[in-house]
Amino acid sequence: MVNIANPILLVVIPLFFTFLIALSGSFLKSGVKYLPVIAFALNLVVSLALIPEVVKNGMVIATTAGFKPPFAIDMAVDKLGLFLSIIASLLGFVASVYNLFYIDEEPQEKFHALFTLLVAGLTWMIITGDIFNLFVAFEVTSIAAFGLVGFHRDKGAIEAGFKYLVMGSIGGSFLLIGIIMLYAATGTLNIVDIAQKTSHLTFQQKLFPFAMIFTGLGIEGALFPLNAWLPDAHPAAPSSVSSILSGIMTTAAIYAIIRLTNTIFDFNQIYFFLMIFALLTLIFGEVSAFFQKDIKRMLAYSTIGQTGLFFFAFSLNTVNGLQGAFMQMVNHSLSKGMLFLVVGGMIMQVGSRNIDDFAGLGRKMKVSSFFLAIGAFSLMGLPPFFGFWSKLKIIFAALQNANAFLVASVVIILLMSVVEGAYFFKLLQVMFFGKQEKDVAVKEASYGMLFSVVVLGTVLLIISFYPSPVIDFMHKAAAEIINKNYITLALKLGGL
Amino acid sequence: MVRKVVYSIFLAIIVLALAMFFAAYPFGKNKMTVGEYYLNHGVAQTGAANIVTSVVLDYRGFDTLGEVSVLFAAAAGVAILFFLAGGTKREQEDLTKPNFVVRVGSRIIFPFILLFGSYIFIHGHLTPGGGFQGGSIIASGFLLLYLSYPGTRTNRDGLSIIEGLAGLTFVVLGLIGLFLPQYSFLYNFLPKGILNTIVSAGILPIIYIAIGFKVASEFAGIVDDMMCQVICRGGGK
Repeated sequence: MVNIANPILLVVIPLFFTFLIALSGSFLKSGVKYLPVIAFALNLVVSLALIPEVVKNGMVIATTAGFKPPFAIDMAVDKLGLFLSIIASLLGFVASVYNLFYIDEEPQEKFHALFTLLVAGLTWMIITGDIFNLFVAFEVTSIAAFGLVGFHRDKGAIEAGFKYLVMGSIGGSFLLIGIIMLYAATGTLNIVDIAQKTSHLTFQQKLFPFAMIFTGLGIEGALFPLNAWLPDAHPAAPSSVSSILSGIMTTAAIYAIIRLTNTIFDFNQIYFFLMIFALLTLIFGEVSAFFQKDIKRMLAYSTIGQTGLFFFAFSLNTVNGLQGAFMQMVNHSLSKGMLFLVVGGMIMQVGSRNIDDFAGLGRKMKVSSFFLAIGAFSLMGLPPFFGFWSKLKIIFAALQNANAFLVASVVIILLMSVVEGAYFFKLLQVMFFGKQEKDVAVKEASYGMLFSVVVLGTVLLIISFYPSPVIDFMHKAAAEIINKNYITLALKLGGL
Repeated sequence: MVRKVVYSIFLAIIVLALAMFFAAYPFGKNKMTVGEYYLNHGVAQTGAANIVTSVVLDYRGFDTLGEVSVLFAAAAGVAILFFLAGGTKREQEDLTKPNFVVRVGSRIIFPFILLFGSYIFIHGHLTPGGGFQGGSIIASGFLLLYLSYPGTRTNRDGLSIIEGLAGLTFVVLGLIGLFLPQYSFLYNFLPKGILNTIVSAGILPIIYIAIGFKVASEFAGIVDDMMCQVICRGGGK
C-alpha cells in the first residue's frame, strides 16, 4: 500500500488528470468536466493526510528519481506550505465543482485541462524544494493562466490576456536570470543547499539575484509598480479562474518571496524597502477599488490592496507580524475566492458587471447575497469574522516595537480599512436597498454553484467562530519561518 | 521621448547589475558542485551515454515533466485563442498557390523528416538531441505539408489522443516508482542494460519516445490552429 502522505502527489495527480482530459476529450466530450473535480478531491485528501506527518516531524520531504537532493529535485512541505496547499486544494476542488455549472462555452476540454494545470502549478510553487523547479512551476502557472484569461475571446479578454502574457513573460525572464545568477554563485539549485552557501557570498552576489527574483515574483504577486496586468486580467477571466488567480496566485508568489528573503538570503536591510512598497500597494489597491463601477474590477483592485496588507505584515519580520500575514492570507484566499464565485453567479443572472445593475439582488438571490455579505465583512475585518482577528493581529504586531513610521503605517492601514468598508458597504447597500428599474427575471444561482459558495463560506464561518486552532497553527508556522527551521528540518529529514 | 529615456535608464541599471555580478564571478575556478557529481556518477547511476539526458530526464526529470506541461499549456492556450465557434465562417484568404517543385519536393522529403525526427528521439539517451528536438523536427514536417498543400487538415482528435497518451505514459512511469521500496517519483526501475545500446538506461528512452510523440503532436496542433482559415475544427473538435 502506497503512503499517500507524499507532497509530490499534489502535483502529479492533477497532471495525470490533465493528460487524461486531453486523451478522453474527443470521446467523453463535455464529460471531461468531472475529471478536475476528481483530481482536486484526491488532492484535498492528500493534503489533509499530510497534516499528521507535518505536525509530527515538522516537515515532509519527498525525493524524486531515487537520488538524494541536491542532486535530484525534492518537495519539502513545512507548516506554511501545508496550510497553503490545503487552501489551494480546497479552492481548486470548489472552483472545479463550480465549473460544472458555469462553463458552457467551447472548447471545454481545453478549459478544464488548463484549469487543472493552473491549480497544479500553483500548488507546485508552494511545495517545491528546488529553486529551478519553482521556475518551472511558475511557467506552468503563468502559461495556463494566459490562455484562461483570454478564454472568452472578446476584445477585453484578448487585450487582458496579451497584457498579462507580456508582463508575465518579462517576470519569468527576470526570475530565470536571478536563478541563473544564484546557480552561478553557489553551484546548486536546492533551496536548502543554496541557503547554506549564501553566507560566503559578497553583498553584490546576494543583492542582484535577489532583486531579479523579487521582480519576477513581484509581477505575479501584484506588488505596486508591477501589477498593471491584474486589474484587467481578473475581470476578463471566467469567475472560477479569477477566484483561483485572486485566492492562490498572489499568496503563492508571497510564499516564494518569503522563502527567498527568510530561507535563502538573510537580508535585514530589505524589509524597510519592502514595507514602503507594501504600503504603496495597499493604498493604490484600495483607493482604486473605491472608484470602480465594474464589480469584478473592484474585487481585483481589492485583491491588490489585500496583497499590500499581508505583504506589510510579512515585512515586519517578527513572529507576530508573520502570523498576522498568514492569517490574512487564509482570510483573503477563502473570502476573495468565495466572492468571485458568488459574483460570477450573479453576473450570469444579471448579464452585466456594472454595480448599478445589481440593485435589489439582495431580495432575489438571498443565499448568494448572504455569502457575499459574509465575505465582504470578513475582508473588511468586521468582528466576529476571521478578518477581524487577522487585522487585529497585524496592527498589534506593527505596534509591538512601534516607531513613528510604524504608527503612521498603522494609521494608513486603518484608513484603508475604512475605504475598503466604504466600497463594500456601497455594494451591499445597492444590493439590499437599491431599486431595480428594469424588471429582469433574476433567479437564485444553481445549486451546484451555491454548493461551492456554501462550502467556502462555511469554512470561513467555522474559522471565524473557532479561530484558536488556526491562530495557534499560524503562530507555530510563523515561528518556524523566523527561526529558520526550514533548513534544520530539511537537513534532519534528508532534504539534503 | 520621456518613455524612451526612462526605459534606457532602467535597461542601463539592469545591464550594470548583470555586469557587476558577473565581474565578481571567480573566473577560471571550478565552481561546479552538483555538476561535477553528474559528470562523475551520471553514466554509472543512470546508464545513459548522453550525460545531458541523464540530467534532464533522470536527476531533474521532474523539471522535464513540468516543461512538458508548459508546452501542453501553450498548445491548449493557442487552441483556445484560435478557436472559432461553429458557424462563424471566415473568408478564405488567397494564398499564393505553391508551385509544382514545392509540392512534389515536400512529398518526397516528408517521410525522411519523420524518420530523422524519430531517430533523434529514439537515440535521445545516446546521442545529442532527444524528445523535444525530435518532436519539433517531426512537427516541421507537418508545417511543410501545410505550406505546400494549404488545404491540409490533421485529425485533431487523433493528435489529442497521442498527446494525452504520451503525457500519461510519463506520469504513470513516474508513479510506478512510488510503488517500489525506493518510494521515489520517477525512479528508474528498469535494468540499465549495456551502455551505448538502444535498450539501455531503463525508463529514459521510453520517456523520450513519449515526449517525442507529445511534442510532435502539440506543435502539429499549433500549426493546424494557425493555418486553419475556413472553419477551425477548434481545439480537439
